[in-house]
Amino acid sequence: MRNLIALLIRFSSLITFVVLEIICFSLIINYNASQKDIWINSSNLFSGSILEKKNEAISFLELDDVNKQLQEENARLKQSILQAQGYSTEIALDTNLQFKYIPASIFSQEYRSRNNHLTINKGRRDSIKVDMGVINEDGIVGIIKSTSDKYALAISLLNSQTRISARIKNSNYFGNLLWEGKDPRLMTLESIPRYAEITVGDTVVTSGYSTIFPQGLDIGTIESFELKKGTSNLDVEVKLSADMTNLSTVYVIENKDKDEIKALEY
Amino acid sequence: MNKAVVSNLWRALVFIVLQVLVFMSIKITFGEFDYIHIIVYPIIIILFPLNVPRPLLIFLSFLIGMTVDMFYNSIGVHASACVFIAYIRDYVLKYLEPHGGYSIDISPSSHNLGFQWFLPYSCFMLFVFMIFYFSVEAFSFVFIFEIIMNTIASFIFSILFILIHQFIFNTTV
Repeated sequence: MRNLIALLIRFSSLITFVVLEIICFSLIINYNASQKDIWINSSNLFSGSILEKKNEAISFLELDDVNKQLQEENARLKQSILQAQGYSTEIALDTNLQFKYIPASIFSQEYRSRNNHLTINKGRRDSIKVDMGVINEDGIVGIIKSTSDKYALAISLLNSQTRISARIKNSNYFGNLLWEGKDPRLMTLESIPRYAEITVGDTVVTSGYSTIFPQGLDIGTIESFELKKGTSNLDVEVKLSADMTNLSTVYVIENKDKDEIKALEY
Repeated sequence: MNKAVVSNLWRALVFIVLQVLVFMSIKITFGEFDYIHIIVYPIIIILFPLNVPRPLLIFLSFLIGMTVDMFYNSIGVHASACVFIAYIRDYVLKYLEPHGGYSIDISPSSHNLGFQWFLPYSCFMLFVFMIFYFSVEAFSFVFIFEIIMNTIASFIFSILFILIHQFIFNTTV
């Protein structure tokens, strides 16, 4: 004990000096704006460079999570775009607020057979239900047909059962979109009246006349059209904007008012 | 109260008041050249009597620095520089010790130890103070040019005031 006191006395000035300087510098950093900024920035530079090295080393381990986050972010953004569009035109306001996007990845896909299906990595657990629409960044992709806990099976657009209510954006004529089973890039839009004024290159969008897709989602563009023999209707070839042979990230559209609409209709 | 304590207290008071009321508001600029800041109050620490215990000297310097800081709105900046020169004062005094040694209770002033001794002592102390103060004020050696310019310009003007003071007043205690 006496030695300790002797030691303290011997180094008393050094101790006073160090303690007071620490007090001074903590005061400087806490109460002076410019010094505070510099302190924060330079300590960030220091710790930042170390953390960056660490991140570089382990970032690939987190790619999966990052991907998921980005998908969710994307879904949110898509939703807000839809909402923003809704606000700009009063009529669309109500319909657009009712849809929710759930991000998912394609687990397996096919496009060569007559009836093609897609498997996605989200299921009942993620509140995916039958008859929800599936889209990707470019356009619509399919419709959920059945679900399990973790996975869901969707009918691809490239399926003989597919019937989608589609509309030509500029002229508002609408018809059924179906696949004839030949070319995975082309679908046929039926029952457009012959007097419809359409041109090659017009955009085809969802009509919104079903509870599956909101209105105005991209489907594709008109590739060609011809009069269907024996009818007064045009057969329009639509080039899909989504590349059905190469799908990875998709969004499942949940229509929150579906049950209400269904109850009203039946 | 003992005479040395009273006169040192007076000196501290006068120089702090001079610093914050007069020298703080003096701005000497030549166009772009605005590096001159007159800082004279470190003379209080320079002239502290030799028999003051070192930890006490450091602590008093801290108080002086904090008082000035309150007026400069730079809490801690002056105080850190004051604490630093108070700490190194002992080493400077040892280095500059004359052959006969110091008599224990005097003030290391020009009158007591001679101008030839006082000039390097006060210059060194003030220069260290300036360089420390401006470094802490800038807080980053990115501003090394400003630090050096500030230090040199301010040092020249401030040391002039201190030396003039030593010529005018015979500070014995």
